[in-house]
Amino acid sequence: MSLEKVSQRRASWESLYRQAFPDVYRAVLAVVRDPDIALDAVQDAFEIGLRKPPTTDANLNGWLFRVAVRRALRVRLRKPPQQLPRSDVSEIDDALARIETTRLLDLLSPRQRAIVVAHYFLGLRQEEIATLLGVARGTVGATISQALARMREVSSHV
Amino acid sequence: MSKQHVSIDIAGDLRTLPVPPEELWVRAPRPATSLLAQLVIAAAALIAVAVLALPLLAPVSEQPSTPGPVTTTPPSASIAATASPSPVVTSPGCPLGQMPSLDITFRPPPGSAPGTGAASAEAAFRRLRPNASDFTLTYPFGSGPAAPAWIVAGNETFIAQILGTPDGNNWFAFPARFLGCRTP
Repeated sequence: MSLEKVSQRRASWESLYRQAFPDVYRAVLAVVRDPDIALDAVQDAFEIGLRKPPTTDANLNGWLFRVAVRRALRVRLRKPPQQLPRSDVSEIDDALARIETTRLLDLLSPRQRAIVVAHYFLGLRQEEIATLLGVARGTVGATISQALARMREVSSHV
Repeated sequence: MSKQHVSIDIAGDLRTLPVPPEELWVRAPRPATSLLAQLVIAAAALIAVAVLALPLLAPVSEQPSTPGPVTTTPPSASIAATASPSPVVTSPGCPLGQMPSLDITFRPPPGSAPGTGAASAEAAFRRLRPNASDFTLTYPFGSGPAAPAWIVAGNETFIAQILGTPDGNNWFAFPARFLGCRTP
């Protein structure tokens, strides 16, 4: 592939990625709860997509989310993440502590959080989540029901 | 008995989470910079090796005809001396015509990449040691805006330097020891 084509492909992928970044980053952050690890994982997803792009632009958010969450949960112990400026970290940490949903998500396992966030924040259908995460559709539905019940139970006691 | 309905606005809440600055969304391209980082690491390693080797070579060259024991004893003594903790050097300046030799601990590959550092020497150090509260920062190597900074924090010393151009977030800090002065 010519240098020009490589450059064009990168620019095109980067443009799509930048549109998706805010929501995907927030979703990954809600699952992994660490601003540095979330950023590192989403950056990894960008680079993976650059080398081997998803087969379709449809559901790009879901693809980036799945790749980033997998990286974040599996790689976090092996590689020190890039560090955000400390002022940004404290702002994000404050928000995580302040926002009720993120506190309620703390009650769930990372896998439960990933499913709930994918469905209610990224708007993915249960079938899509099942495909992305490699689980049965029924598992997704049951997980969402259990997770919401747990969150509502605690929320009603606040 | 009525069941209380509790509403949780997951999407609305999560949309209020802050995101990092846009310049951090994509890492700086690595290939060109990793080569630069490798060259810097190689140069630093060569200097460190040269500084360590000089004391070992000196006695041998002064007594070329002395056999056996004389050549083996001094090296082990020198190695022991360099392996012991060195005193904290607060200002690693050198006389005119000499250059400081530093033992710098760079990050493992791919290392630091221009554009991913901090905006100043102090910010780079604070990123490396976020909990350090008591430290001094001086510029013994020059007075220009791109001159490296020397940082002393407790019994540790660091160098903060620019990788790439002085513009942008190109300041990086690394643990460093002052080994002495040498003639270029």
